Amino acid sequence: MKSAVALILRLALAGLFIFAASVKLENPQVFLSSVLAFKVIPAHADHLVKLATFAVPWVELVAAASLILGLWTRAGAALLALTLLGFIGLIISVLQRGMSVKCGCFGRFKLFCTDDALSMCNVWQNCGLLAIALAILILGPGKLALDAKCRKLEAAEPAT
Amino acid sequence: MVCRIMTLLALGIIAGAIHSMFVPVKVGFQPDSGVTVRPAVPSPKAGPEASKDPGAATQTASQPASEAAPADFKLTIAQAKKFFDEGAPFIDGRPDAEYRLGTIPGSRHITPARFSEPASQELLQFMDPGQPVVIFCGGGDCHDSETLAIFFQEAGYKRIYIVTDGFPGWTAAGYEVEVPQAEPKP
Repeated sequence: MKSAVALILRLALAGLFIFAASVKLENPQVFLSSVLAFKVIPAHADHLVKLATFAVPWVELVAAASLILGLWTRAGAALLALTLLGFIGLIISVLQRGMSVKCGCFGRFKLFCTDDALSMCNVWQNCGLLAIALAILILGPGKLALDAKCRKLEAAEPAT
Repeated sequence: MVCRIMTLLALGIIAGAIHSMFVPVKVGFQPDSGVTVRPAVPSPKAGPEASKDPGAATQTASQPASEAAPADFKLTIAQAKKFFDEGAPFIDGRPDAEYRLGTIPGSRHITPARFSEPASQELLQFMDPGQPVVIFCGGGDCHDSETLAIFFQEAGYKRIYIVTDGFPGWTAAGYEVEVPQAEPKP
């Protein structure tokens, strides 16, 4: 039962992040404007802005791929948890600065928060996703994971 | 575990860095340099008053890039109103929910995320890339105008202007506002 739940959570979180990453990479110029809007990276630091524009979705993709394959599952879940913590911190900083910034999270698609501008709803939404990532971290990879196969191979090695 | 997290992070960053080398993106809009920009708004005024017109700043190919006045593409509300009175096309880059509440009369609603979609291209098909186009969004922290300006530039438009204070500035100045009848097809 536990491993089935872990599998469902793993695939759900991975699917969500693959979708989020593909929306960002589909139109990087639009995501770049979201990166700039946070005013965390100065606009004159062109290379950093461009790197963040591409690295954020690619980190999401790599972590999501590790969850789908069930390979280094806990590391993948931990990386997504850290990413989500970063997003939560950024959103809170935007709200504290009184800025009206559009969420670049899922492009023009909305998950739970229907407002265009970032709000506390986005913080709670990310807290929910963070809880899923932490659950995977605790439960482990569950069924259909390469991690389990690797462990079996490692266990079999000394005998051969 | 930490080592694995760092490995995944490094993989993502390296993949992102490689991807960024192959896909050109621009940080901020810069008007084409070396392009002759004719006065965008013909003014009946003469003498010193004429130089106050938004389009009266004439850049020529002989001007160095520094004199091309990169701020020229940014319009004040008063300058935007002159463009409006002359019938220049206005592009509203704000999200659907804000657009539905009211916009500058006659504006075409195109968000950056939808620029390349057929419905948006339909809205642009009767526009002349040689004519000025005025873009606005929510002003303040809004970057959508600049992103749209980059897309218009890539589509061949030469005379692109951005209303710095956006729609809030327009309404604050007391200029007319129109509530769209129906949302254009996405």
